[in-house]
Amino acid sequence: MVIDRRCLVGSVLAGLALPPALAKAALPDKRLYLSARRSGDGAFWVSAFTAQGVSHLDVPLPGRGHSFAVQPDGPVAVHFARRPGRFAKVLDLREGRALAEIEAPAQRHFYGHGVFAAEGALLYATENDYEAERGVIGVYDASAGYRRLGELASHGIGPHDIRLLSDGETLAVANGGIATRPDLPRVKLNLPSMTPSLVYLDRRDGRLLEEVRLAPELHQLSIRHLAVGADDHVAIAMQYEGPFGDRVSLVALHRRGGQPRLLDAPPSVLRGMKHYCGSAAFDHSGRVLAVSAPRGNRLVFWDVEEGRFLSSVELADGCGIAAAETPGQFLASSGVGGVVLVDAVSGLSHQLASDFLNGSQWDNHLLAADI
Amino acid sequence: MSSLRVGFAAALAMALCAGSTAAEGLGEPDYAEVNAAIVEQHVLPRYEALAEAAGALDTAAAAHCAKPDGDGLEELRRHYHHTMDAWMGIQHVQFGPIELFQRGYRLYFWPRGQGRIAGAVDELLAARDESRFADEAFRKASVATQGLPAMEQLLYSEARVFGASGEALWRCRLLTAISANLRDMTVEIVADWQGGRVAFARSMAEPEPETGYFGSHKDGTLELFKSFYTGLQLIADARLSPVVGQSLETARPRMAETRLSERSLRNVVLSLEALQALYLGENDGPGLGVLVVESGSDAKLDPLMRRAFEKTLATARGIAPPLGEAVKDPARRTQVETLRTQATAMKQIVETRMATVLGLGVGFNALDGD
Repeated sequence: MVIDRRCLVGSVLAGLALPPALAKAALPDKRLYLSARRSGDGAFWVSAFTAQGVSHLDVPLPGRGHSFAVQPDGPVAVHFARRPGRFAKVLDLREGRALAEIEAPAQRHFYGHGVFAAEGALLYATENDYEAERGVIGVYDASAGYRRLGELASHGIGPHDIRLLSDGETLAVANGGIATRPDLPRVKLNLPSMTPSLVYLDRRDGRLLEEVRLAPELHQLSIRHLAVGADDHVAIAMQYEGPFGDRVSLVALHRRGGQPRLLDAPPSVLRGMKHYCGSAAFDHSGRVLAVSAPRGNRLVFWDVEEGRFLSSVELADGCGIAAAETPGQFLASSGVGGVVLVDAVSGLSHQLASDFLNGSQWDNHLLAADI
Repeated sequence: MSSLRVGFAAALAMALCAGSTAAEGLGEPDYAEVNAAIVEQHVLPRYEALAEAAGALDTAAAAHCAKPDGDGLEELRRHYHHTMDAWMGIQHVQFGPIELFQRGYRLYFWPRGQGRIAGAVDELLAARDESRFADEAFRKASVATQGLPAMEQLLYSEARVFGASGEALWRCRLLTAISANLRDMTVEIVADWQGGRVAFARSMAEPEPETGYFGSHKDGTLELFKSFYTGLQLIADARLSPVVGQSLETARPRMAETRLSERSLRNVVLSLEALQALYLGENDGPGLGVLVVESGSDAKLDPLMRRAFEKTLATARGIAPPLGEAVKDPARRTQVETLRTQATAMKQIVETRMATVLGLGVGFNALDGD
């Protein structure tokens, strides 16, 4: 058996030499990592655990879960069902329990992502108005039992990830461009004509502030996941629906008012990503970007400031990825079980020693929450 | 049904070090051998059969439009069914030349096309614009008017008259444009597998880690495996589930595939047979199942897969068509529900157990992503 570097459990992780000013000054009381999982008996759960791999919250789900909206400075997170699910769980992260369940309205289903407004009162969720084949952003009032106040147009088909920029008013939405219907749950309907976009909306009135598209020949690059780094750099992680042999970049960066910039990687890494990014996250400094490629069993890292490829690390069905407390480091979860701590510069990783983590199949996303 | 229940725990391999625990016994030569056999004995002969059927359909369309009569229409329909049969035999292969120039969608715009074909066909006929039928224009026209679903619309809708003047002339123009398009595309697909710029059969047999279309033999097997999985997924999630619904009351006969030509169940049987052939191998060549056995890691899986195909096919063959009627008939509905359960179970077995056994690194997040 070939021993590769990431299997050297307990290897010493080299720190990144980043300017200290970039690192956030105060560390939180407690950082939790949130993810959905499937247990050995096939049941679905939403869970939270510490950086040491200790389980802190474990709530059963009626179906497969996807991602979270985490209330800023608050103890609440909302976990959304995976497309085309219609449930969302409101979780108290401090108490480690579910508080309530939100149901998508008639003729809508969740796409699996959402975000809280800065003050934590309003929740925005990406949803499918499938009869009209248009994406919408459902707006929910957290202070009134998550009553649905209304919806904003996503200005595209298949809105997936959604983030808030640092001004507290601008929403970034990834319109994947792929039409689906709940009665054909996993069938992609419009690949020849898809036109994905990254849009910026004013969360107060839904006004379209900016619409970003890649070159027309890249219209089959579905813009799916987002991460927001330092200076509101928006990273987009994509999935290519075009021919198997095409060699295309799968990650791009954008800043308001600018042109999208595709991030390059060595050809073998690009090929190894298998046309498919699962999730994206910036490190604690907002400078290092991590993108998971579960079909290629790898994690890929870039230095965003220099637009430079850093490293690629193997992880079987590695998909969930979140900033660890040390800049340049991430926690990443595997769909076949286990969670690793990985360093973007050295490419070294080690698996957290935890029967709970090892015994679960971790689903698409891993998010950090400070409580 | 108990024999088809998914033994999920078995698929939960703690395989963080990819490739080191799953499929210990499989290596590049194993993948290479099976890929070559499947391409030569499964993919190519089936595309050749499709090209032959489409060629005969084109000849029949031209003949009928030259001298329209009642027998000619029956002959045309017979060729349409032959072509559809051949397509069901190879539709599951979703990589390679079929991906280029949107050929897959132009051949068979489904399930998205459901409910949109008639409108697109009517619009094109009503325009009475010769320039839209010119080869180059037609190849770039809406995919809804280019392929077999539009052909079905022409052959089975109420106004199925072909002739030399008026409305019937334009129907002939569209009919022959579709048949010529199908003939050309299927011939091109065969040619692109065997030669051309990419020469898929050779690219697959001689992978190149840095620059090739395929990086390794394992990459090639992964594409075949995904075709296998997608084939099962289409049967369960697109051919059956939307039609069956949750109850007799909510069943939707109108969602049945190729409803006008009443061949929905035939499609299910033929695509299941094609997937069975991909698994078992054919024409004396091995199939994907050989890798399951050679991996030596899940001894019960191969017998389970063989039994699952036999049972599911027996169920499908035992239902009296058409599917749209069967789901609304209390007696036959039970059988259709069983078929859906069996097809769904097969999909799950392949997703959870076969993916692990083949060592393709296809996991929880990777196969059916979001």
